This record gives sequence, C-alpha cells and structure tokens, in this order.
Amino acid sequence: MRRSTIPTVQEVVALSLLIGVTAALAPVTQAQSVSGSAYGALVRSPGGTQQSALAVLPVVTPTDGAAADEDADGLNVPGTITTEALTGTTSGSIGAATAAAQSVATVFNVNLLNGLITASSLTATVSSTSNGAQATSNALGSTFGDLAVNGVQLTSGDGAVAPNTRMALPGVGYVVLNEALATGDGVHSSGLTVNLIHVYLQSLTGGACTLLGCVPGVPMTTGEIIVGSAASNAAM
Amino acid sequence: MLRRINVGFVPGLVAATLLAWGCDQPATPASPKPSFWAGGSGSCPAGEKFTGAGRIDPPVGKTTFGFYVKARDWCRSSGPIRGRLQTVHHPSHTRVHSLTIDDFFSFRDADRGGRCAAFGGTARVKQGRGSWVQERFAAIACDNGEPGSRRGRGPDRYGISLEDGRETGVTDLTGGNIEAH
Repeated sequence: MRRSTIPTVQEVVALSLLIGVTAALAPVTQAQSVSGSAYGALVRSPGGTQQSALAVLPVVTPTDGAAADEDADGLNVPGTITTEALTGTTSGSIGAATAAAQSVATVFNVNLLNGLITASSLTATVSSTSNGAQATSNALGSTFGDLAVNGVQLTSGDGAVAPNTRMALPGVGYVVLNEALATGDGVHSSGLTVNLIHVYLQSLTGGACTLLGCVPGVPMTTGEIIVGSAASNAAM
Repeated sequence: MLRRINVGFVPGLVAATLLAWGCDQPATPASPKPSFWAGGSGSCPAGEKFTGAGRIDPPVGKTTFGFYVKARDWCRSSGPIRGRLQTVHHPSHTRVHSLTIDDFFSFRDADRGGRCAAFGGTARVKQGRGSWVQERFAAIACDNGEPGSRRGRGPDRYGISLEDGRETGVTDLTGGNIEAH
C-alpha cells in the first residue's frame, strides 16, 4: 500500500502554527551598526568625477571602533572649483549600550564657478548615536566662513546657514546650502548627511518655437559640485 | 603602582589637566617623548578604547578633529597601541596627522564624571602651504555623555598639544561626539 507524501491540510496548518509560534518567540534583534564618511569636495560632470579627501569608516564590529581620515593640499578643476587644504575624518564605535558615529569635513579658501560662490572655510560636522531606545543625529558645529553667493555675503566670519537654503544661480542652476538629509526611525537608527555647498549644474533642453508658439526648455541636471560633506549613521 | 608622567614638551595641556583632575603625582619635565604611563594592568581604569570626531572653539581658534585609539594590549601587557588621529587648527590652516600612538592612559573626568583618555605619539604636521614636519603630539579626549555636544557646549571635551608648544587646552565640544567604549 502506498503512503502519500502530500501533507494533509491538518499537517500544513500545524506546521504553520509551529513556525508562527517559533517566530513569535524568537528574540527580535536590531542590527548593531555604524557608518560614516566625509570628504572635502566632489565634482561630477559628463566628463567624469573628481573627489578629494574622502574618508570612509571601515566596518566596525561590536565592542570595537575604527576611524579613517584623508587630506589633500587643494583641488583645482579650472572654471569649476579651486580650494586650498581639504580634510575628511570619520570615526565610529559600537559599545555595550551605545552605537555612535561622527564625521568632519573641512575645506579652506573655496572658489566655485569663477567666483560665483566663495568661502574662506567650510566645516561640516555630524554625529549620530543610538542606544536602542532612542537614536538621534545632529550637525552642530557646521559653519561657513565668509560665504558669498552670487555677490551676496551670507556669513561674515564663521557663521551658520539655515538647513536646505536654496538659491538660484542664473545660467548655472541652483545651489543648496547646508543640505541636510536625514534617515532612520529615531528609535533604533538615525543618520544624517550634510553637504555644506551643493551646486546642481543644469542646462535647458527641449525648448523650441514653432508657428504655433514656443515651448520653454526644461532644466535638466547635468552635473553637481559638493563641497564640505559629512555623513554618520548609527543603529542599535 | 607605577604612575609616571613625563610630559616633556606638553606641560601646559597634559600636566595642567592631569594635576587639575587629581593625578597623584606632578609632571616631570624634559622627556624625549611623553610617557604618560608605562602601560600594563591598572593604567586604564576608565577604559581602553575611545573614538571621536568633532569641533572645539578654544581661545586659540576653531579646531576640528577625529580619532580612534585602541589600547587594550597596552593596558593589559604594555603591547602596541592601535589608532589614528587627525586634527585641523583653522586659523593657522595647520593639519596634524598621527603617524604613531605610543602612550596612553585613561582616567575619570573629575568635574563631570565621564571617562577620559590621554594619548600621544608622533605626527606629521603642516601649516598652510608649508612643508610637512614631524612632531610629537599629546591629546586628551573625554566622554561625558550623549550627545557629546549640545546647543551651547559640551559635555564632551577634547584638547591637543604639539611639541612646538602650540596647544588648544582641553575644551568643550561645539560639535561632534566622543565615545569611550
């Protein structure tokens, strides 16, 4: 007599219940992790990408820590960016009760797009911490030295600019100052990326005039310049 | 218990701080390198591993930093210390990058109850467009809670001193964080 290997409905239900109970009883663990990065400047265009003083936090194992740092004497992409010294540094740790990451980028004497944007110094500072019950990030200490955009002086000496301040750059595109990008649930995880100067290079495409009228061109982003970027993430 | 502090070139920052915070012996001068401690059992009562990055604004001007120091082997058997440090003094455009870290000890922040690390070694140092030179450095970093910097200042703090006499003093963070872990 052959015995069927097809499980009965009762067997399937019992197995499902068992799996469900097992899953419910299994401890819910949040991955402990930290990450971070910082760099002085990045130029991305159809011609290629240049990045200077990039530091990326190595993988950090529980109960340990790590750091990375880089620096450069300057960056010069004619007509696009000149700077003096750039640095990036990032560190992170996973302890018994807290995961933390923090990053800093600095740039001196920034000149973008032949003087359209200038600054004597940039300091991007971010930090993230999580204890498994609360996770936070902040960008305290992020400042612009003597920042001027399109002839408008925005800071005198070392000063802050409101997060995500957008300004038009006629004929070029637009810039977002102190661009802040947050991630995480605020309980187990939190992350923050700050780009102190983020220029979106744009050109108009598709505009044309016919006998029926003119269709305006649509601005398309063709490249970007980021100066002073720091990012940190922590989860527990 | 051996508790030797030969700070040599860093009397201002390290010695003053340690004396102020209750170290039980004064600094002795003129060592070719800062030997805070001989390592081994008992030299790290406040922790063996510290990380941090951030910003301070002492009277000498804005300074940013990042570091990691792991002295587990040093603390237990005088073995090697792992880690790295980068610091930038903004007014003078001075960059400091550690080459080695060869001294370490940890202690309690007597004022705030947190945990502090003092560590030193050699670094390459460049001011502005000048040339890189090699100097010894000493740093102190204190973890006094989370987050390490709040609106206002602190509670964490950091300071660095160079062989040529430049130093920041141990100063509250105005951004970033320090972790003893």
